[in-house]
Amino acid sequence: MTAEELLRLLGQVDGDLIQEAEVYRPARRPRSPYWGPVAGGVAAACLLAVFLTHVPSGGNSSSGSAAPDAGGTGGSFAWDSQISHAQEDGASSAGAESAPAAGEEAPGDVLTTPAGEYILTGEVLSALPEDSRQVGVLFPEGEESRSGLYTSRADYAGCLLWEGPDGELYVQLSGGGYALARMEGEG
Amino acid sequence: MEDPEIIQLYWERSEQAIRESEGKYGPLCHAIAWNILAQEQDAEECVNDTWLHAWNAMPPQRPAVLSAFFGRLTRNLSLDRLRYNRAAKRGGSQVEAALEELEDCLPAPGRPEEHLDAAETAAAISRFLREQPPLERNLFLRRYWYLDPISELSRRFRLTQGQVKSKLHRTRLRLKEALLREGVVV
Repeated sequence: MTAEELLRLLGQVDGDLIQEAEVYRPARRPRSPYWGPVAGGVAAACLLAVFLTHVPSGGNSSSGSAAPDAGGTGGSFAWDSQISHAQEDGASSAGAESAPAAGEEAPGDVLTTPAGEYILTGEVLSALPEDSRQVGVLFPEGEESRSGLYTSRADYAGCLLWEGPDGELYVQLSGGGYALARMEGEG
Repeated sequence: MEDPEIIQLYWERSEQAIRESEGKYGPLCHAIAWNILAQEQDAEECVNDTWLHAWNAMPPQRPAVLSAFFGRLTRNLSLDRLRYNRAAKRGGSQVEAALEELEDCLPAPGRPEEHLDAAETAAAISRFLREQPPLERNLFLRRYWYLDPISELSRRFRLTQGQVKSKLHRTRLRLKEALLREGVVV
């Protein structure tokens, strides 16, 4: 199937869904007169805190001390931002810049499956071993995957995952090739 | 005029059917054609062809949702015209961007489809969409059925463009997963 065929197929979805999309508008969120100023105050305090911890003032503040704090309060922001960039890269071009390509993989990233965690070795194979089977689609961590397949690499999200006869996993890269991952603890 | 009355006019072979269709659904069809073709003259011709095709289709057809029926005709005619234009290197539109984005959903890009036929796949997509939250479902359809630009979706859904892209990306991933599960690819 090509993208154009999929676009055509989408034209055949049920008429009531099309009708709904024609008129659908998201509900407006009611604004509270109380929480608006409070949120503004909290935002200003956060900005001030970030400013104070990031300005090199000769004290003991550093990005190292700010990072754990950001992980606590702003972790989701950082994650959203990361996702968003991944999407923009993927949507704005055919993926030439962001697409994982054979031979360029750095080891150490993690694939999480219902069977356990797998570490990407950095090896990229040009073909799958015989008798490999398709496992499913990789989702970024934090998303909801029905098959429970996640990747710590944003640019692997959406890639197909295969399992070789030896139990090793292979990520089908959009730039060609298959990135090898082994169960954590295996050589 | 209500949709059943317009349909009745087609069945009675009254040319008023076309005037009523144009008045009620002309802007919708024009927006779809424009999103696909980005050319005024071509869009106008596709909308006019829509009424002609509707005239030929009714009777015997009696569409359950007239807006979707007209919209689908316009969409197909516009995609046909776009294919012709691309061969002749004319025009540019939301379709190119949508096609790139939809690559995400392809279980096996470029592989011959041998598992589900078109109608079954369309039904699988409809089922998938019904399972999605309303915001995600309608965002997806506005992007890939109506071919609305990201900027328009951002305004319509009161989201940032980054949020729109992010939600679309997640929905595309879920669709890919659903298509695999439905057997589009073993």
